[in-house]
Amino acid sequence: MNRLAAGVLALLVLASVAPSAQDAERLFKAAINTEMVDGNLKAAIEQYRKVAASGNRALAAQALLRMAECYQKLGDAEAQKIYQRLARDYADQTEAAAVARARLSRGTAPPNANAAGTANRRVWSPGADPSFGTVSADGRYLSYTDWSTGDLFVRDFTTGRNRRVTNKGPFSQSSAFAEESAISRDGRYVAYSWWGTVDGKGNYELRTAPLDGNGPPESRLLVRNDDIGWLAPTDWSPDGKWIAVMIARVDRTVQLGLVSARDGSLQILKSNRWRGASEIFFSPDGKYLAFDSPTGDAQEPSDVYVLAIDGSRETPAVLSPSHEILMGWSPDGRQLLFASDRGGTMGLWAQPMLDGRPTGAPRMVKPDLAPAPLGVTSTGTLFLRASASEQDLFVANVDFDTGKVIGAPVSPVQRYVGTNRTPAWSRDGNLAYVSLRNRIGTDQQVTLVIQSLETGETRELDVPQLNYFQNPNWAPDGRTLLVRGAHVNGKGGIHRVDARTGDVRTIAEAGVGVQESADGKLYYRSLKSETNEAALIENDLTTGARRELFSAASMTLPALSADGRTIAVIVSDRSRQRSTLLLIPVNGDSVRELAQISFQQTDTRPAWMPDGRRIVIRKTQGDGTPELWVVPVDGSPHHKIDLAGPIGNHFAIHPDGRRLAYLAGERKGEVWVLENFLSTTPNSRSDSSSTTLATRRVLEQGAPWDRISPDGRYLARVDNSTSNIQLLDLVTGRTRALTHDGNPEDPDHRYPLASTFSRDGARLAYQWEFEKDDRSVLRVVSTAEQGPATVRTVYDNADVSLAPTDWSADGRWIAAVIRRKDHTAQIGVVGVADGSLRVLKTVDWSRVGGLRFSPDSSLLAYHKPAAEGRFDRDVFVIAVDGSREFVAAASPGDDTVLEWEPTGRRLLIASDRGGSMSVWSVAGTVQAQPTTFELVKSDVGIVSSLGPTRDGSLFYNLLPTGSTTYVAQFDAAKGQLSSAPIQPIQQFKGFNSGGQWSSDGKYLVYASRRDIPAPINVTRVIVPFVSMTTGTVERELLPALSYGNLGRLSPDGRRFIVRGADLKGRSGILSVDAGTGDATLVVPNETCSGVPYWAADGKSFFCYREKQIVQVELSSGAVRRTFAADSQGASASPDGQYIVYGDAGSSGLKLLALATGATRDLIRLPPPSSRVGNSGSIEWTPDSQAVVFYGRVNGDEGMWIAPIDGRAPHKINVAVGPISSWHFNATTGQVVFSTATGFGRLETWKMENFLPKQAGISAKR
Amino acid sequence: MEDGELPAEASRHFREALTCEQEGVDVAWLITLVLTIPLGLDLFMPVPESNPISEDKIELGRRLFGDRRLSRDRSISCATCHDPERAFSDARPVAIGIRRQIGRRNAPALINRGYGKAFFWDGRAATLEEQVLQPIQDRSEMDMALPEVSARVGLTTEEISHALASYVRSILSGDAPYDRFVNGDRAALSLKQQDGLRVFRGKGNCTTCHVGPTFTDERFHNTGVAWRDGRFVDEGRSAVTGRIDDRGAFKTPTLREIARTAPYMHDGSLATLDEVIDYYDRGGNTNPGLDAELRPLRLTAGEKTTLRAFLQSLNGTIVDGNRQLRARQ
Repeated sequence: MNRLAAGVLALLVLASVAPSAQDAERLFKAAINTEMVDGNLKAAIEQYRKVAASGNRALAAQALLRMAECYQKLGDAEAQKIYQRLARDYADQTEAAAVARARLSRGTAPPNANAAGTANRRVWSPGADPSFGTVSADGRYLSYTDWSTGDLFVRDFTTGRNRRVTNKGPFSQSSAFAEESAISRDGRYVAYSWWGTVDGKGNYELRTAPLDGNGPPESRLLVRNDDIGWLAPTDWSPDGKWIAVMIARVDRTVQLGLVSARDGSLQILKSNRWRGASEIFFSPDGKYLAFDSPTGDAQEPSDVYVLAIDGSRETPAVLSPSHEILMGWSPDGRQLLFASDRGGTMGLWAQPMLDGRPTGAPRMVKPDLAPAPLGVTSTGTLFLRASASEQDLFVANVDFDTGKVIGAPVSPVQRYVGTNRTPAWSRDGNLAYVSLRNRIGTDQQVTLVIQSLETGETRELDVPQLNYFQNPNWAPDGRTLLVRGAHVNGKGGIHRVDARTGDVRTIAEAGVGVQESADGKLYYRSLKSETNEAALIENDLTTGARRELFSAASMTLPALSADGRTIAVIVSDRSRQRSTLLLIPVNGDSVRELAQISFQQTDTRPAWMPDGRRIVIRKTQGDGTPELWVVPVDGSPHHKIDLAGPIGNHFAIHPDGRRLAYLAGERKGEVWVLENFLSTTPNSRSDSSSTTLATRRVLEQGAPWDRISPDGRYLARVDNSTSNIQLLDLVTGRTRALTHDGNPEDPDHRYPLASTFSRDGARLAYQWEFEKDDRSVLRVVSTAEQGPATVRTVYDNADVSLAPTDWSADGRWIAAVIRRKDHTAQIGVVGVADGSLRVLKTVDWSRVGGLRFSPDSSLLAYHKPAAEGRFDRDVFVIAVDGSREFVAAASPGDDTVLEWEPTGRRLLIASDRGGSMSVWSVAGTVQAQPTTFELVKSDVGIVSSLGPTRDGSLFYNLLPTGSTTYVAQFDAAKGQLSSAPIQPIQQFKGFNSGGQWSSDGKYLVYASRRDIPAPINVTRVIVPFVSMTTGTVERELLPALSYGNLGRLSPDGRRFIVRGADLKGRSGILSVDAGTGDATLVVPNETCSGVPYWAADGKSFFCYREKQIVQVELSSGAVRRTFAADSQGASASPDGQYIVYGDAGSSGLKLLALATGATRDLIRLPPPSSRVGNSGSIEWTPDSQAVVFYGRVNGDEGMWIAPIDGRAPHKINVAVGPISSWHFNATTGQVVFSTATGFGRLETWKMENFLPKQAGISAKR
Repeated sequence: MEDGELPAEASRHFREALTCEQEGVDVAWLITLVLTIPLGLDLFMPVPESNPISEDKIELGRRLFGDRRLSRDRSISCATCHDPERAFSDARPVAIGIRRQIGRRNAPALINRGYGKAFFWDGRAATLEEQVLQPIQDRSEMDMALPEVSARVGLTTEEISHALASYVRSILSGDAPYDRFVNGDRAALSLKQQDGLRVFRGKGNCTTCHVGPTFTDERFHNTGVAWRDGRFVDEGRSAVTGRIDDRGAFKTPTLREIARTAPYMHDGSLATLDEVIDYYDRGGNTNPGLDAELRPLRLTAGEKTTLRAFLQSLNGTIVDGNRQLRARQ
């Protein structure tokens, strides 16, 4: 009889006999112990089941409740049935029944699991990049501006039709346009800002139009005021009487106000200097306006406020050092939704509200989303705008004599792609451009980037003195750039920016498109206020003299020739529908007409060739296609530059006269909805076609080694309670064990890890780890539901560990990451039939992964660090026959493999090259020159793939936030906190842990996790040093570890002692230099298997090895002495006298006197009532007179302090828990502690309909 | 109450209309409905929750404002230096305290201070509640210990502070020709004044600091007024922050009612608007920390005249509480 059969029989026997009352009590306590102390939920369930059958109804109700909780933790739908049974059959057990009913009412899910049905799906891809307004309350209508004409439209999601609201004609006929818009809650009206010209003077108006009827609606003017420079409607009051507006006065004051929808009267509620809100929404009861507002002069960070619409009060709703953007209100007004980067990524959060005031702490709803709200419907669906822009800079080698492009254009910028604009070459060939690192829907964060195409060196300047700038042009000195922009005080002007330091000096007050001649004269375009004409101005910086060279109704930005003598501009005459390229001598000679062009938009500046003999202009053809043309100055025929694709409105010619930098590609916007994130509300009424791209959370408790079956139904996962592989049925929630020979008590530490399904789903390959021997074997198990699973070992080599990652289409090969004991890492394939190993490539040990066969199994995609010692990864493709390898994606940031597209021609990768982690598609069969990245889904968050499914979905793990770090003052005399805990860390909040103090007490040091949701041991850990004086991160340490947690800082503050592995994969106890991050292996795992902690002398440390505490010399690695102790976490006293450790036998604390080796009980905490937490939560007070620990004492879980003189421990009143680390600051009397809640937690999401469905495909894709 | 019938300036009615229309209204709101906000000012005024504004407190504050018992020798009150007839400012260059002690700085106009973010010329008080107690205790001004004042007037220090702060919050100036002009009445300013507005916003560079409904950025600038004979005769903001960069910097004063509040600058050193315009036209007094925005303006005589005419359009209606003290002239 095997062990499984024996266990089942034993359970059956137990279940068949009802225990006596006394036995039931005892068994109930034992079950709690099994659940809480051992963490063996399945065994506990069976014990509870037996208690429930005891006949004691009170005890049975409690047992059922606990049993349901166990099922809930296991993600098993059985929980719901038990709660129903409790509510139905145990109504007399009021407390238990009430709990059951409450949990049923929220879907039996864990506290935040009502969002398990949360789905995020795309509902519209307009194919262009319109300005979206807001959505109607029923989710049917969305207003937007179509920028091909500037007209306002309304999208009907029910019919899929777009209805025209305005009809002004093309821009060639009218320069008017609609800009911002908002639909009334009942969908009957739309308010919009309209820029138009009256009596030759352009200005913004606020207009409304009814949406009743079918024809073009008649608009109504509500506001037009010469003192208002810009305005935008943002929302309607629920009763339709008021329109919330943001206006900018001519004096740069930005105001938030209400306009009466009836008579257009304007009531200003609040003025700001010149920074306004990005979003404003009425509360559902119409009493309040919520808005976000920058906290200082800069665009970021912002906080969120709630303003009573009668002006009587303003309440900060969300204040933090992080950047917050208002997203809307829940339909009941009880939650204020906001986006925040407090979790490291821009996520959606909900702040509970009552009567316009915040109540309680905000909760995270979704870790990643585009922070561009379009409104919340009455059913609680949040509409969002997402960017899918592919427009960016390219550089082409061009023969300007013929217009031929030599070779393929390259995309030189691989960071924040889709945001880079306005190239300008310096005389020595450096490329400057601006990067509009916008968070969609908010003001854009402009960064000036200077990049050498020769060396790749890139310098980024944030230019903090300017809040916005554009059109950089190099000054003749080559050291500064001239930009048009707005100073932090809101004043516009022309500024000189130091290309090295970013320092700014304002040199002129008005004008755009400025260029400087070698003799110190500025040339720019300015607007004449009296006539509204454009004027070409010469401004002599030496004398201050200004001179108008030329004026016209409309002209492009001016281009100054290299010799500084002539300016080229294109002027346009709308009445004659004609544009003309003019050459304007700066010495005042007569203007020359160089070329007549059919009437075009006049927004593109010409560019001179360096030789001064030709000019390049952009012309738009009749079909709207923009092209670049070369116009010789001598009147010779023009010729086109042979560039494919839509050419943007910025280009620049290299001083060598052979290269062209230009903007190309499409700008696209998308509309997405986020559903069911507030409660179990029905879906919105908008298009719910199953073919739309969507992401959906399927599991709140993902695990790093999970893999999805090809049919999308089962997750193969490691059951840590049994050390076996199990299948979780995502439909029923039931689990089924695939292997049965795992045993958590196994002294050899054998357990399964990585796994991968065969393409037909019939088999699963998995890694069977022998931790003791530091090796693993590769096994294959059948997954058929009928009959016993068969297990076969495919590969077993004591020198090798294999982690399977994918299975070839024909089922003959398994791709695997190979790690050898000599710390060599390789990628290769293993023959399923014969266990033959084919090594394809030897790679750096650290962070290699993602191996995926192409559909025809001829290629393997994988990712690894770009170079040794680097942490960012690139994507490579290698032929399975070893014949070739190429780079598929190499961004400066992190690129990882997700999956092949079914055609096998392209690869899907996760990359942060666009500024946030998104899914991109790249060529997969040959190295594309240049690499063409196509955006598939932006803002997916930090992900790792669990595999694709045949229905075109991708399952992935997503890393939500978890741990929170607090700092509080500690009263040593009372043994209690004496101040309210604060959260000192605001960046990557939720991803930080292990807080401790520098040796001088001035710095808070912690581990910040910023990587893929992989097992903790391959996660990159950054160590920031936060000054407690300034609150800022003064430096960040990058330990040279391939894995390892933060460890402890030595008493002299010079090094950390860490259990982990260096970049070569050498694992054991390492010393990490706190200044450089260099890691040195001190002793291997054989010497110490536990977490190390410093001895008081700082020259040695202690660690655990096979029921011994070992003291090791740091310098030599020699073992100084050993002590018998069955330790499960320990800490050495600062005075060097003792070690306190959690005793594995008694679950209590023992005190080891280091001088004598004698041990005594500090606290006896026999199970099941008590337990002590892990090593990080046992800590000495600085005076060595007491220890603090996290644990359960007499059933009371929390942080406890125990004096070593024998007095009874008492609980420290900390409102949060469980606590994973605690550290005293001997200098300041503070403590830092971190919660363990959710730390390391993963969520499993499904991205639907991003791949063509693979109907009928089983053995191959 | 019908919707849409409310002119923009009828903010009190606006509030009441909203309140009437909404069920379940918070009674606490009604307490705050005591101020009529003149045209041009924000409807929202930041009032600390610890000191909600009320008509009783305003009235009490008004009486304390004129109460000479707040000074040691019972010779002066707040109103001595903040004359309601002069938009709550002082005709003397610097304030004169008890025993005719000469102060260091000019008593600023106390209009629209409810919108303020920092108080005193050097911003050393963060709230009005804090600010109103300091002149009482200043030895060169009223020279009283707070317990003594409490004993004299029969109020706690907090009551005095809250009442005076509430009263100061109620002192508002708006509804000036300028306000009517920027709200669409293009005849509210003469052509000369409109020319002056263009200078104010353009060549004069005035809106760099004098911006928004209150015509102040509530920030601190070194315009060189304190620079004499190669040194700062008044450290200004630096005395509060300790920052060298703040030496000689003073808070931007409001320009509302400017024609009524001579003399000008933190030390009252410029007697007329013409002198002020001339001072800025020459770019202020050059000194090591001079604000980067100050440079010679090269205004013509005509531009100066129009600028002065515009500044005079900033005289409006002054109210304290709901009492109208002075209509625009």
